[in-house]
Amino acid sequence: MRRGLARAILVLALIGPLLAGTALAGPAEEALGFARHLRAAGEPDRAAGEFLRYLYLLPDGPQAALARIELAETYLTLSRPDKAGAALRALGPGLDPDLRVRAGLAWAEVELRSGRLGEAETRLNELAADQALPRDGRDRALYRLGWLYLEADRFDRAAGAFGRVSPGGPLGPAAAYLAQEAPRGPGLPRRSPLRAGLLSIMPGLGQLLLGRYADAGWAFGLTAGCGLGAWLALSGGSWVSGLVLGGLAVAFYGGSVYNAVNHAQRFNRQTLVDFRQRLRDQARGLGGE
Amino acid sequence: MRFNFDRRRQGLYVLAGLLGLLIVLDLAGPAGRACLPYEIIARPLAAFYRTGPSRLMIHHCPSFPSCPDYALQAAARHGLILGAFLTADRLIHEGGRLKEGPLAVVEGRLKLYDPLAANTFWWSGSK
Repeated sequence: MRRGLARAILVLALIGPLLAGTALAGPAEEALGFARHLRAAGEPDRAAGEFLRYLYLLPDGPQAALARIELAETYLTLSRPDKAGAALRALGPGLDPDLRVRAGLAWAEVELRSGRLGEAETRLNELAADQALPRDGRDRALYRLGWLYLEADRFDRAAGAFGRVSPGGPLGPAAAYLAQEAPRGPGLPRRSPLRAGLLSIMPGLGQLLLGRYADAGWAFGLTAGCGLGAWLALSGGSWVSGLVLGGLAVAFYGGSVYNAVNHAQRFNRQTLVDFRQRLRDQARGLGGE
Repeated sequence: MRFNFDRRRQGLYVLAGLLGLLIVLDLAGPAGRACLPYEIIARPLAAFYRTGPSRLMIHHCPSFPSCPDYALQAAARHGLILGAFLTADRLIHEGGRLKEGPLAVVEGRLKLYDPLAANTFWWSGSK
């Protein structure tokens, strides 16, 4: 009798943790499935909570590494690179190649969004050069690297990165198109801020160069009007009005020069933004990300 | 009308002196923070404009933030002189930019979204 009881206790002690693990695995798996559902449904904040619940219940579970990467990607969607980095730091060694690619891409994104362009570039280059990784994974790293260069206006490097993507892979057609189009970046139409500023010595002339005729009229009218008003007031001995109008004339003159330079800069930036958007739309049509 | 050269010259000297003082006070102020000219000139001017002329205007500012708010932000962040240039730039371009956008609905009105950073991105580092 006593022997039977001891045997029962021994059996319980052996399978107890297993039973407890099984009991936890159910809710944990449910949490993970729900987290993925929320993420797909566009609710990343709630999805992050469910990923955390899974990792709390099964920190060493079979899908813990994948859940950490998905949690990091979710935090990146929420523009929280600091938390995404913390989730990635908790990853252990010995990830399988597909997870290494995904974690590497997420790391590069963390660096990029934290303003560390150089580190992001290094991580993507390392990923692209790692022969132990699948070809598709290396292509994704090269493709992302190409976009990183495009966003930094380094068009030749972008073309180089896109050109290294294997043509037969899923990203091949999009990368080939981008490799061909990226070098056109430096040749886009630009406006010279220096020339616009120098021409604005005569208020309104810089704006005319930029094709902003309404701005040109306002710049000339306000500066000339205030200047003339100040001159007339001072001539008539109205010191207060003269000083106020003179101050306004100086402000409008400076503002007119600033306006011309500012709009040349804005034109150049918008040209690049439009160029990148056109490339992005075309690349998406060719199967790019 | 007879132009009095001496008076004009005296006026210009006073103007130059005041501008010089303003420049010194403005440049001596802490970078990125409101300085003395901002406190004694810009804030009272903006407060005066809001309580007086602004309420009499039929035409409301088509931009967001409004021009007085924009002017205060510009003066607080970049000093009174550059702030005045930035405000003048805003007044010059705000009509022409309405077609370009981006637009935002503010208190039920469609306005041009034109924050300070959109006009200083190329030198202040803000995107």
